[in-house]
Order: sequence, then C-alpha cells, then structure tokens
Amino acid sequence: MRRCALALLLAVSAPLFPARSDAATKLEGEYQLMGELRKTGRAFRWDWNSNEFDTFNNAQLRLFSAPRPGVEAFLKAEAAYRPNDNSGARPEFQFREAHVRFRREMGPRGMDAYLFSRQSRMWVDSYLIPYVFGRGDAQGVRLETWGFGRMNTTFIVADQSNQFNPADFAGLAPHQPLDSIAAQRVQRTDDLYVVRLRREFLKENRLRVGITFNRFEGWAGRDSTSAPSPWTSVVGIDTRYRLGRTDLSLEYGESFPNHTTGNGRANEFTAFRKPLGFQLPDRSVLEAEIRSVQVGTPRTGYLSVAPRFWNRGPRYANTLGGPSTDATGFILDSYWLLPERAVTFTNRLVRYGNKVFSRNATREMYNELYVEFINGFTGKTYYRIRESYAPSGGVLRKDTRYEWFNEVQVESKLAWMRVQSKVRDIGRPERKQIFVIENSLNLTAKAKVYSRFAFGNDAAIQRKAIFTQLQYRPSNNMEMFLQYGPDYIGGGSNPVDEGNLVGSGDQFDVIKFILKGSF
Amino acid sequence: MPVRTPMPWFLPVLLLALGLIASAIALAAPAKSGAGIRFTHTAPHAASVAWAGDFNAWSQSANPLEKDATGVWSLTLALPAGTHAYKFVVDGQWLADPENNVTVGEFGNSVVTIGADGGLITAAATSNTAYSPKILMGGRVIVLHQATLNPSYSRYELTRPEMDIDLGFDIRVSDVMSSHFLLNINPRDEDVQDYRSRLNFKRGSILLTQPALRVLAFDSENIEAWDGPIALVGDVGQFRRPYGFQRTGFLANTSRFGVRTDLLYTDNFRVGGTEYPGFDLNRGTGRQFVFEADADARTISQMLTERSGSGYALTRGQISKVQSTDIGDDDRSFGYGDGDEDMFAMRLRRDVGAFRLGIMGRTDRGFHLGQLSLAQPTSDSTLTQWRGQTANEWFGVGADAQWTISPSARLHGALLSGARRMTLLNGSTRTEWKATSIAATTVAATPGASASADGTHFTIDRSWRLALGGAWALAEGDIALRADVEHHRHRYPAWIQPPASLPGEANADHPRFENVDYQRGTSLGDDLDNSMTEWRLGWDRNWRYYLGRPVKTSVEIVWTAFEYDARTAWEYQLWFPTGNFWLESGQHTVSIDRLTLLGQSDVVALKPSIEIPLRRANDMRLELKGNYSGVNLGTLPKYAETLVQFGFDYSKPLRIQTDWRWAKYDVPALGLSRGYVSQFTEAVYRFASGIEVSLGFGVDPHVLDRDLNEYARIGRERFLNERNANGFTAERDWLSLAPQLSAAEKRLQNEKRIQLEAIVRF
Repeated sequence: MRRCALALLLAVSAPLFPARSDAATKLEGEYQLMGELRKTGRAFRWDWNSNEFDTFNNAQLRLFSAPRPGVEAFLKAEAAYRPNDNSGARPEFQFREAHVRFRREMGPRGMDAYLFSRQSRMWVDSYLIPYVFGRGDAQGVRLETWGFGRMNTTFIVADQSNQFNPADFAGLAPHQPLDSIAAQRVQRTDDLYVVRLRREFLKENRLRVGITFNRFEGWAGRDSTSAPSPWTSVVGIDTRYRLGRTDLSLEYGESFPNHTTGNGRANEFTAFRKPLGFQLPDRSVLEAEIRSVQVGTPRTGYLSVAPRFWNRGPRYANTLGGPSTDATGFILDSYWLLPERAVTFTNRLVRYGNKVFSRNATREMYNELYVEFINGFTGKTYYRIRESYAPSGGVLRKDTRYEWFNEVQVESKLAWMRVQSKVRDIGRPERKQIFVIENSLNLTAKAKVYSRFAFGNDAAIQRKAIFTQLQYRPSNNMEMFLQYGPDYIGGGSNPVDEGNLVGSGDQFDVIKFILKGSF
Repeated sequence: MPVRTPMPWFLPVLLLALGLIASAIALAAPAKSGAGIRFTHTAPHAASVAWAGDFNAWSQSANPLEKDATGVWSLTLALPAGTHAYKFVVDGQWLADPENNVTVGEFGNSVVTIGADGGLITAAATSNTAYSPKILMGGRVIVLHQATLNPSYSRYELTRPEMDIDLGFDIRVSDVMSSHFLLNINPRDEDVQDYRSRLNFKRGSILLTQPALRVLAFDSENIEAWDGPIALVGDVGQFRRPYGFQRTGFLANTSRFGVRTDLLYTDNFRVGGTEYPGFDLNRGTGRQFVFEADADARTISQMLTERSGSGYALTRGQISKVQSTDIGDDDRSFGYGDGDEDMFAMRLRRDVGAFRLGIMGRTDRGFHLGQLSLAQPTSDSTLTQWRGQTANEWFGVGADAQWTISPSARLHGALLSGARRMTLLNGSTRTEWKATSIAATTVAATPGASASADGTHFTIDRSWRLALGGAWALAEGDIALRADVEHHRHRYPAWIQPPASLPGEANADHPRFENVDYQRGTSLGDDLDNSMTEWRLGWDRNWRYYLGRPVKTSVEIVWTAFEYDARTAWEYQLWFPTGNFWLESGQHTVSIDRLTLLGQSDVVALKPSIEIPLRRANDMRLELKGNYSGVNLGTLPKYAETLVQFGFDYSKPLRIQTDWRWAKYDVPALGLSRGYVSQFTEAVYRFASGIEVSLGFGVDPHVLDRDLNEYARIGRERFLNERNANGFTAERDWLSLAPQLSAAEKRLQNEKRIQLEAIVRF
C-alpha cells in the first residue's frame, strides 16, 4: 500500500523536470492574421476572403532556454495557414526547427557547438571560391573553435534527413527488418561533411592560410546491393597575403569524385586564346585576386584597381558548393574617388568563356557614377554593355545588349523618396523602359504611409503597378498594415529589377489588412 | 574478443568543447536594498503600478511604484521578518511579480521571506514563467547522431538523426488540484517527414488530493503496477513497461472505515481503432488474403457426423466455428490493434493486526475484436448458427493476504480466477438451419428463421493463478531472502480440426496474416488443460562489513515447469501471446532468452549478479550480471548471457564507461551453438545534472523507450527484436527463428556504430 501510494505520488505529484533557480526559459512567439478584399476570382466584387490566393496567417511559438551558462536549447513550432500550400486544411502546430548549443569563451579562445535539426548551418566563410553553399535544412552537428594555436576551425557533419519520406514504406511488407533491402532504400539519406581550418601567420597577421575539405555522400534511395553511392570530395586551399594596403589572394581547389563529369579534356592555361603549353589537373579550380592597387595623389584623387582571374577545370565537381566548371575569365574592377567631391566612378570589365564546351568569350563593360549631393540627395547612374555569342542558323551570332540605369534618392525626418529608371536592350526591337517612384511619409511617430508607383513598357504593351500602404505601429511588438495593390510587383530592393514589370505582372485591385503581434 | 574503438578525429576537440562553460544569466528578482526590499516591474506603457499584499492589507493605493525613464517601475519597502504574499496592481489588473519565481496559494500570489536581519531568504522556485505563477515549465531535448559502418562499402554512413523534444508543464490549479502535461516533437518517432512533425500531446494528468480521497485522471501516464502477490494491474509487455501508457482513465483511492479502496478505469487508445477483421484482408497491392470466402457454409460443412441407422447424423455436443480474431500483438501495427479495449479494476484492503487482507476484481472488455461463424447441433439434423462481430471480455476475481511476521519478515498468498468469453454484438444474428444432406465428412443445410443475437456470449477459456511466498531480511537488511511459487492454469476447448492450409499463401503453414488470427475447427467440448508452475528463489547480500565497501551480490533461481496437453497448438505455448491467458496478453512476452526454450517442459534460469565499487574517489564500479537459462542445472544452459559493466570518472565531469555482452547459445537442434560478443563504450561529459553529451561506440544498451518517453536498458533487445529475433517470428514461422536469431546476433556483434548523444534538461 505504502509503495503504491509513494509510487503514485512520485509519478504524478512530482514535477516533470527539476526546477533550477538559475534556469532561464522563455516562450516567445508571434501571430499574424491577414484578410483581403479583391475584385478578381470572387463570387462578389470586393468579396472578403481570407482563405485564397496569397494570404498568410500564422502562429509561431519559440522556446528558448538556458538551463546552465553556456548551454542553450531552442525550439520553434508554427501553425501556418497557407491556402495555396495546404489546400485550405486547418493548420496544426508543426515542428519548424530546434537546436541545442554549447558555447564557451575563454578570452581570445572559445568554442561553439550546435546540434541542430531543420536548420541551415551547412556553410563556411569563403572569399573567391565558395567551397560550401548553404544546403538548406538538415540535421547535424556544427562545431567551431577559435584562438587555439591562432587557428579558427569549423567542423560540420550533417544528414539530409528531410529526404526521408515514410510514404515510401507503402510497398514494404509488414515486419520488414530494418536491414532489409527495401527498408534501406527508404531510410537512407545523403550525408555531408565539412572541415574548415584557417590560421594567420607573420607579423600583423599578414599571411592567412586556410584549408577546406568537404565531402558529399549520396546515400538517398540506395541499399547495400546498389552500386556505391556517388560521392564527391573537395580539398581547397586559400591564401591571402597583405602587402601594404593591398591583399593578394590565391585559392586552389581540387575535387575527387568517384564519378566523372565532363569529357576529360585538358585544363590548359591560355593567354589571348593561345594555349601556353601548361595545364592544371582538369578537376581543379584556381582563382586569384589583387585588391587593390591604388594610384593617385590627394589632388588627383585615387584610382583603385582590383583584378581577379579564374581558371576552372571541366571535370571539377563540388556537390556542396561551387564554383561552376569549365570556365576561364577575369574581372577588372576600378574605382575612382574624386577628391573633395562626393563622387565615385566605378568601372568593371569582365571577360569569361568556357574552356572546353564553348570557346566563345562573353564580355561586359560596366560604368557607374555615384554622387552624394547636399540636403540628403544622392544620385546614381550606370551604363552596361554586354557582348556574348549564341549559335543561330548554324553560325555564331554576336549578341550585344545595352542597359542604362538612373536613380535619385532623398531622405529627411519627415519623408523619404526614390526615383529609378532603367532602359534595357537599347537599340533593339525588344527595348524596355521601366520607371519607379517610391515615397514614404511619416504621419506621426507611429503611423507612416508608403507608396510605390511603377511603370514599364516595351513596344507592345504598357504595364503599371500602384501599391500604397498605411503602416501603424502602436507599440514595439505590434504592427498593422492597410494596403492597396499587389505588393510583390516591384517589391524587391531595387524595384526596376523586378521582372514582372515587363513580364506578366500588372495592376489589379486588392486591399489587404494585416495585423501582426509578437510576444 | 575486444573490439578496438577507433579514435574519431573530432574527439579531442569535442571533449575540449564539452568542458567549457560560459557566462551566467541574471534575473531582476526582489532584492535587498538599503533598509528594505526593492521590487521592480517593467511596464513602459502602464499608467500606474502599485504593490499590494498582506503587509498593507492588500491595499491598491498604499504603496505605489515609481516609474523611471526606461519604463521600469520600482519601490523599496521595509518589510518585517516573516513571509509576505503580494501582487502588483498594474492599471487596476492584479499581476504576480514576473521576476519572482516563488508563489503560493490558489491565487498564485508572489512571496518573499524576510529573515531576522532584514535580508531575503531564498526559497525553492514554484514557477519559472512570467506568464502564470501557477505554471512550472520545463523540458528535455535529446539529440542522437549515429554513423554506422556500411559493410558493403566499408564506409561509415550517417543514419537519420533523432531529435526528441519534450515540453512539460506542471500546473498548480489550486491547493487541492494539480495537473501536468507533456508535449513532444520527434519526427522519427512519429514516422513522418521532418517538416510534417507536430507538437504532439504526449501525456497528461490531473490529480485531486483530499484527506480521504485521491482521484487521478490520466492520459498515457505511468500509474505503476499495483503491488501484491498478484499484481492485478501489472507491468506490460516484454520490456515490463509500467501500466498506464497508451491508456486513458481514472484512478481513485479512498480510505474509509479502515478499508483502503482502489478503483481503476482505463480505456485503451492504441492505434488501430475498432475495426473488426473479416475473413479476408486487403491491405494494398499484392497483400490481399482471403481466408474463407463463405464462412457460414464452411462452418456447417465441417461439422462432425456419426452413423445413425443407414445414414449419418450430426454429432451432438459439438461446436463448429470459423473465426478471425484481431490478436493485436503488433506494435508496428499494420493491422487493427485492440483499440476498443477498456478495463475496470477494484481492490479492497484492510489491515487486521499483522495481517493485510484484500479482495480484488478486474474486467477487461473489447479486446481481440473479430468475426465469428459458430454452429451447434440442436438435433440429429438441425443446428443453430451464430454469426457476427465479436469482442472478448475477461473477468477475474480473487483474494490476497499478507502476514507481516516482523518488520523484516513477511509471508503472502493470493488466488485469482478468471474467465474469458466472446460476445456477439453489432447486429449479430442467430439462425436455425436444417440439414439437407449429412454425409461422413460433410454437411449441407438450408437456413430458416433468423433473430438478433447481440449480447450472446461463449466462454472460451478459464484460468487460475495461485501465488505463495515470503521474504526475509536480516543482518540489518544486508541479507535478503525471498521465495515464492506461482501456479498458472489454463483450460480451453480442444479444436480437433487443426487450421487448414491457407489458399493463396505461399508459406501457408500458419493461420496468421499480419496480426489477425484465423481459425477453423470443431470441438466436442473436451478441454485442453495446460499449466505452468514457476518457483523463484532469491538471495541478496551486501558485503560492506566484511569488505569495507558496499559490494553487492545476488542470485536468483527460477524454475518453470510446463504441463501441456499433447494436442496444444504451437502458438498456445504459454510464453506466446496467443496462449498467454493472463492479462496484458496483447504484447509479446517472449524475451530473447526464452526464444531458445520454447516448447520445453522444464526451464531453469540462474541469474547471478555482483556489483563492486572499486574506487570511491572516482566512482569506479564493476558490475557483472548473468542470465543462464537451460532445461536443468546439470546441463549447459541453452542461453547464457553475461553482462559486464565498468565505469569510472576520468575527471569530475567526464565519465568513461563500457558495457559488454556475451551471449552463448547451445541449441544444436536449431543450429544455434555459438557465442556472440557486443560492446558499447562511451565517454560522457556532464555539464550539470541532466545536461550531458556523450560520444560512444557500439550499440547503446541504454536507449530512449519510445512508449515511455524515458530511458531504459533495452537497446540490445530492441536491436535484436527489430531484426526479427522476436516472439512474433517464433510464433509465426518457427523454422526461420534460428536463422533470424543468429543473423540478428551476428549483426549486433559486428555493428560498428559511432554515436553522439546530447541531453539537455531545462
């Protein structure tokens, strides 16, 4: 009896988890509701409907806990109602991401380790050759250290478990052992490994040398009877030497795949399209840069020149990153800062081409002028010429395109305005003109009106996009928007780069009401 | 043979990393300030904040707080020694102090305790959230990464990592009622794509505590087994999981007039719902199985006949049936499960001097759902046939007694008798048939009047359990002796026509498909009478006085004797779930050691253990455990398992431990006659209690039990079970058991697995 009562008491009355006076656990979150009125696609004109088109309602819960100094647990769950994504099904609170973290700093040294799930932590810093791109969400371990032997290190091991889909079990018989061929195919997912080591040498850390290793193993959909999975390893070295105010960078990488790409032709160096008689392995990439050589005087101003060169072999393969293969080229960036004037002139000269599959170079000339005027006005204009070759009718045809961009911007405490224009394909039948005017007016400390007027036309049609938004932020953790017009046309950071202005997008009547709060 | 553990390249860095601890986190709780206690509250948009408590008779205006430029309101109060409850009044709204995690009472008032010197006395936290002073929030994150050597390519391969996240809430509803519930995320456990995993309700309960009454409403909670010689509510399944998981119900305990009463009601909500398996089963492409196309005709045609004059007549007293039953014993359910099962149990106990006397009863309903066609002759040429859906019921009543001879000696005894019956329901019918032809081996009939048969039941078995025993502790508890005997008896009708081969099944020697049991047969009413008697003798010894350290040894001898009727079907061996007439038979009870002893009439198991603390300074410990099972003590065991566990603290936070298993089989008849060694070695870095990171090599025996959501020492057994070394294989396909068992053991022995596990409790 006593044992039963005690067990019951322990099982039910005792707290699930030991409370610690120094534990810090926080629940945070946000909630958004969106409603819209639009004319198109509705039973009635200006019909309220919040479960169609591009409305997005969500409730997000974030848990953050630091049970001990240097230890952290994080969880994010979300119930999202996306009519276009889930066919209008009612949302459930679903797992979004999580990690546990162990961090320690000891003066100039330290370490930081993440054990993460559904997070994008598959990256390492790079300069010329991007050995590792972000690979999207994965489950894995990321460990970084710094200061030990003047070395910075990064180690990543990750599994692309998002490839796992139990629906693939449909064909499995019951009681299929885990080691069975069919079960193996379902359960296997791709594995990723990255090691990054970097150390600085010499006085004032003038020489920096880094080594990157990555490896991809494509296990997904394979079993023990299949052919070995396609795997790729890349080893790269990067160096930077600082000479005065000039950085000299040289990076070299080589891949070691168990499958070949390309046709195996040589990775021979050329100068002015003439082979020089020596070559690198055709699974290698080489890039170099000088940034930058400065000439001039305080009176004439300074001209900075930064040349960059690359030579990429046709059989180089990097599943986890870049760069592209079978290319050689250079970029020559020049900047001239006019003395005693807020004027910057930029010139970029680019030339690149394939080494094996196509030996026709692409050339680009870019000239930009940026001016800072008085009273908060700034101006920018550029002109770009791009030459490329494309096969047409059995012969190579030279294709030249011209582009002209202008921008004026002004900002004060009361308002902000930006005017942009762009003319593309000058001198060609498909010439396009795009104009955008944006402004924002601060009505009160909590209310603001933002408007954007965008127009684009080519020889056939003119398109327009008018978007205006009343923004109201009554407190730091809440905001309310009432807006008219499609917000995505010209919604990028540079509105004239928005393709929809000259493509399929056009103005239509839509009013949205958005309420967002965070806690 | 020892297995060399390769040192991964990242081990030194990881171990270094685990040793590091960063800066502290401070909360702005009430603090001593000058001659008083300073209270603060952040509310930049509030118009007024006041301090109200028992000190100022809960006045909302006596002690206002003052606001500074950053929006923080503060007040310093000179409080006398003692405990003071208080709240803030923010724009007229009562609010417990979010910075103070000590609260009291059903209103959740904040509390400070002042010492004689005017300083604050620290008290245990009752809340850790700013949202409600009645809630204590916590959780656990487990991250498990494993890389397994792929023997085909000789390369390590990452398996799908596991992240298990618990989020728990303890809620003090009032002074007499508390509640807790647990939310969980685990994509692997949920068996969905990562992005589809949900924040699932895992379990919860509400507890009402009154002086003479305790009521617990629970949902998948551990309510523990009921103690006593016969655990009326016992552990469940092969891994002995405590009762309560995957069940929802109520438990009430009262004590009135010297009688303690326990009432328990539970409902099973395991996956599977309330489907009734038919005589055919269609589970997708290529998995259609038809057991009996016309069950009624088969039931009648297979009836037994006897000579009667120049012709034949139906044999009187016989039963003929065609039946499909959901045996519900598959955790990885592709079938039906016992989703409709519920249970009610009651126990009354009274202490009379040194004696404790009790009576008990239990009934289980709605398990083993199925379809039945059953016929019985009513004359030489007429018969009655019942047809419909069925569910099983079990009733058991019993009594127990305990005699506490002295604080260290106790005797006990208990008897329980039960019966299982099958009940027709859901529109079942009773039809009178008249035979149109009766031959030596077949009968044909035409149906007549038909009526509802809902509620009709047939008793299908009877069982008894008797337990006697005692326990004696002496030498200040350093020596403990225990002995008990338990007798099980099981009677059920003998079906003289064994299950026929199954059409359409290549391996048609067994009447099972997935977890549905199909049977045809006739019975003349004579019963099979099987029994099992288990003698257990145990001895525990602590040698602390003789050896100067707490060396503990124990030995347990278990002798089990079976008596089977020669006609007993293979799957009715008493260690199988089908034939296990005792409760909770929905789970496999056939552990690895028992697999080698199925069918034996006598089984002896010797289970010694020794635990030696080698060095106290660094908690160096050595433990050996054995399980040697055979047919008698004079011959080699058919299954000999030895576990060796050794561990020590390399430094205060870092512990090194290893766990070895040597399993030796000696069953030449099955082709099993070799030994297998497996090991697991790990380095565990403990940041604090409940926060640790470990790096291991091998198959971890200590794993997260998915049903319990807690760690259990079942890793190796689960590894073997998942590779077909389990009772289901033995029951379904006895001939393949040995190859499956040896393959699984070989895989366990050869498994090269690097494991990184992090556990963070908060």
